[in-house]
Amino acid sequence: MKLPLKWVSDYIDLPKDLRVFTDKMTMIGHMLDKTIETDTDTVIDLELRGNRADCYGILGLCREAHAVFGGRFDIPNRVALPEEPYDGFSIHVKSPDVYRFYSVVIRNVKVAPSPQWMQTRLRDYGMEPINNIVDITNYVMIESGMPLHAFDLHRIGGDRLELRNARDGETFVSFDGGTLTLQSEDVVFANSEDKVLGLVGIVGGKESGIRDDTTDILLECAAYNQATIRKTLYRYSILTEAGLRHTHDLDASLCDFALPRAAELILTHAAGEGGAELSGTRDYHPKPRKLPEIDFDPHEVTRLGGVSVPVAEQADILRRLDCVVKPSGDRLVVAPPPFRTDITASEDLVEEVLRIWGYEKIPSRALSSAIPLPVEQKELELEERSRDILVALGLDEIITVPLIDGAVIDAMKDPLKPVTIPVLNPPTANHTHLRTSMFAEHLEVAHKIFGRGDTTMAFYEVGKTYRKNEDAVHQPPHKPGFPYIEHRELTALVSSRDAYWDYYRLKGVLETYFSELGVRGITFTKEDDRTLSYPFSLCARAMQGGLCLARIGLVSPMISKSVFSLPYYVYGFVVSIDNLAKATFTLPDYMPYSAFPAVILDMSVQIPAGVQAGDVLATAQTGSELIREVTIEDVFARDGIRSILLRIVYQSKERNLTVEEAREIHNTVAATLEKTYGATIVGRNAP
Amino acid sequence: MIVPETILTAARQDLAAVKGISQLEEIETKYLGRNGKVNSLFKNMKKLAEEASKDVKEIGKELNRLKQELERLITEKKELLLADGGTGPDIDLTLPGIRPRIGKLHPHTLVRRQMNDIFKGMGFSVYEGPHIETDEYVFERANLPKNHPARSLQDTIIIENPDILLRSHTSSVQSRAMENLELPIRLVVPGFAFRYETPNQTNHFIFLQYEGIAVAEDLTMADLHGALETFCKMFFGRDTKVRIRCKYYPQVEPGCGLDIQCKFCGGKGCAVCKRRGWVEIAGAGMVHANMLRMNGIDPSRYSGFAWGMGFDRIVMQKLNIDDIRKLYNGALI
Repeated sequence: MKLPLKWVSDYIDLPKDLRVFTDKMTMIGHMLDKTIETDTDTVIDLELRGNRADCYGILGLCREAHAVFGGRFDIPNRVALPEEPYDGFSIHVKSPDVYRFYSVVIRNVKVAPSPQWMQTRLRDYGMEPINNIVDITNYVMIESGMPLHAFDLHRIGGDRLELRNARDGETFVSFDGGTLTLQSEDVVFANSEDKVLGLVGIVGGKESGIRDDTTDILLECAAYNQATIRKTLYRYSILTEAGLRHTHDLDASLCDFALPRAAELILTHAAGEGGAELSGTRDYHPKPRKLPEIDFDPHEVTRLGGVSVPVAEQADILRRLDCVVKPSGDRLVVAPPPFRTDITASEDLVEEVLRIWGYEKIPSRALSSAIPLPVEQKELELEERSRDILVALGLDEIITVPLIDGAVIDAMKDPLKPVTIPVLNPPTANHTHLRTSMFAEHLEVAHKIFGRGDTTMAFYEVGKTYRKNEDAVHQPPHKPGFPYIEHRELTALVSSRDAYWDYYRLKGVLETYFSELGVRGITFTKEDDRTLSYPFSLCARAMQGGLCLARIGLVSPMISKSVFSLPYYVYGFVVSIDNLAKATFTLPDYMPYSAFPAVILDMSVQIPAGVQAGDVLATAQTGSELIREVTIEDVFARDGIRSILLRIVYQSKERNLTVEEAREIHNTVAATLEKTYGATIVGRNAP
Repeated sequence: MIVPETILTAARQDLAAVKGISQLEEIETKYLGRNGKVNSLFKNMKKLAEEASKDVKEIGKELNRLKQELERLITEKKELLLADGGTGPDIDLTLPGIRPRIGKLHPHTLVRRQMNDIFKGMGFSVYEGPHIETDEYVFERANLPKNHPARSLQDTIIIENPDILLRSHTSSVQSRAMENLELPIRLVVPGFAFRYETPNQTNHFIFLQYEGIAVAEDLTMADLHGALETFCKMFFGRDTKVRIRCKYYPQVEPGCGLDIQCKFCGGKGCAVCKRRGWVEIAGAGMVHANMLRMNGIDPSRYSGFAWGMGFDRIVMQKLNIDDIRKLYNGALI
């Protein structure tokens, strides 16, 4: 809200130091946005918050300043309006969104430029002068915060003005010449011929407006349902000064000031020869707002504010804010002034007392109450640890937006499309659906990385994916039956020109990641289901017991190459953080070195088709308590037969193991492998 | 043969006494130089062979072994001296090191952890809630009933009209926490929120909010002031000046804005702070009695404070990132 300071000084005395004024206004809730120097005045622009409809007028803010600084507060002159109704013209309100409609008919006006001082003030505020009648309505709106509108009485068309909801599809030619197609939620002025003259509270039409030859006017001032006005205002983007004020909770009582004030100015500055004449009023105000009376415990100021303000001081502050305050025992009964539509309850009064008393007097106290038991959200802790481990393993962290392009989902042939959640109002044409996985965005990032000339990439994201909840299984904290679920996931993607990043290196990253987290006993099994393996064309699942913790694989070249034009194979994994939170964690094994030497023996094993090398390894590892470690040293295939070279380290913690002993166990392991997998042992030697 | 053994022993003693490179070079000349001891032995091979009643070839082999051993001892000593003298073997100490490759954390993670750590020190826990929310949790329970003017300022991304949407702020998590946890609570909620907006340099349809809430039987604005001042001093620097001023937010009453004094002008007013002398950091206040009530908490017994910060702007300032979109499109790696 702009305050031209010369205008302001009509009503109050300003502190000599402007900074004192703006600082204090800022502290009590009206933050200085900027100071503007015009040719004729200094204008202070204060940021307004939505709950103070009364501060959209200069007087409202002067009242605030007066409560703080005291001194004079001059309310401008108003003429006494006649109570009898005007003749020959009637008002018909047919919309529940009209709360009050107060109007006066003024005859014998003379349209001319408004006085120079008024024009200057309007310009300082930021409005262009038009003519004396229109300028006066604007002037009083800026002064009081309450918009007014003047019709040329003889150009309304007929002898009645109706305020009603628009009919769907009804059209209206706006002041600027544009045609609006209206909806039934909009409230309009209509004349005797049922023609729409304007959108109430927002904008009038050209035809019924004031012209140079206007002699008789209908001047009105009204209160509407702010929600309705707001919807209409934003629907047609007609951001008029009047409309913006009506989107706030303006109290109908402001009409009692604004209408006689404007009439006074018209009689003074726009009278025709022999003087203008007030020929009656009509006031539609069926249900005046019931004013609250708040039973206020002054101790609340201490309980919420942390300061002690004497009760007498509190009462004084509230009175300076135009509240009616009556002591009642050790409590106060407080009736806020009608224009303070924001004050409805005890806590509102606490704020009133505190802000005038001074927020700067609220001390800063170290939190001293009992510290609550920390809340455990295991998923969050796992996410943070995951980030650190993957960064240590050479992957960069990225964050991408969870809204993706529906066209990309189609191009990727995502099998989850049926459970993908579309948004009703996409913020852009490329952000139409919530992601079910992070791949669309991540492959796009990969495309950019290779596009700028990089030859390698490795990154991950920790975030959420979303899908429709088909089984009505719910994710806490949503209630059962909530139709959507969110998953916490970690997705990593790697690719490089020199094949540095291949499946095994990425799998190594995943294995180290699990072991660093303390998740042990992970087995990898091949996933053949095309839906479950998407977007991988080769995919393995990382399981701890029956719990699937991750999927890892080669991103289908049909996606990485064909859809995203990526030059090299892309490998990736997806960890379910939700499932990880259910996994079994063990502390790291700090195994002291055995003081006794180890015996190392190799075993070359031919394995039949269909047998997984990983299974053979796992069996060998559990062959004996004296086996410290089994590694796969080589994998090779000849004539279609796969062979692996196992290296087994035999060691005891208690004694020297003889080579003979070790060989004996070695033979047992060999026999187990032959029996379990039909493997053929083709060599068993010391390396 | 006795002679090589004697020479070797003498050489060892000589080398043990060597203190510098020049001395070592003298020793090298003494034994391996053209007129050194080894060469003089080679010259007298025949004589030596006779004395030892051995074949000349045999003596030659022994002398070669002696020579090799001496060379080895001298080289070893030389390396020790060089390394000890700080000049090292052939190392250019100014060439860049070979770094192991580690990844980079996202700026959000760095800053969020810094904030989390500060608040954890004050007894706060980190808490999170769903992104897909109901109108009830985003608006009703945040004291934004239908037709509230502030709703129009928060144009939401809608999933199902009118009741299911992407949360437009993280106050929904405050409600979920108050509903689900036992009091007292002290929580920080760093989380994404979404608004219907076309992304540009400074605004995006996704952004991170850093909210916090504390509810107990005895909390006042002095506690709010204290907790947030401590945070500001630890995050922005010990000398940071902090103020709270009255400001309206629907979720709180009394409400306040939290400012820090502008670091560029020291409060005098400059272009950075728009001549205000102060920079707004957060919106805050005492949790609105309606909000407590709607989440099953008796506002006459309990009180609480809450705050919310626009996190992206702080991250961008701290790390000199000029475009919010870069935080969300992988452009920073």
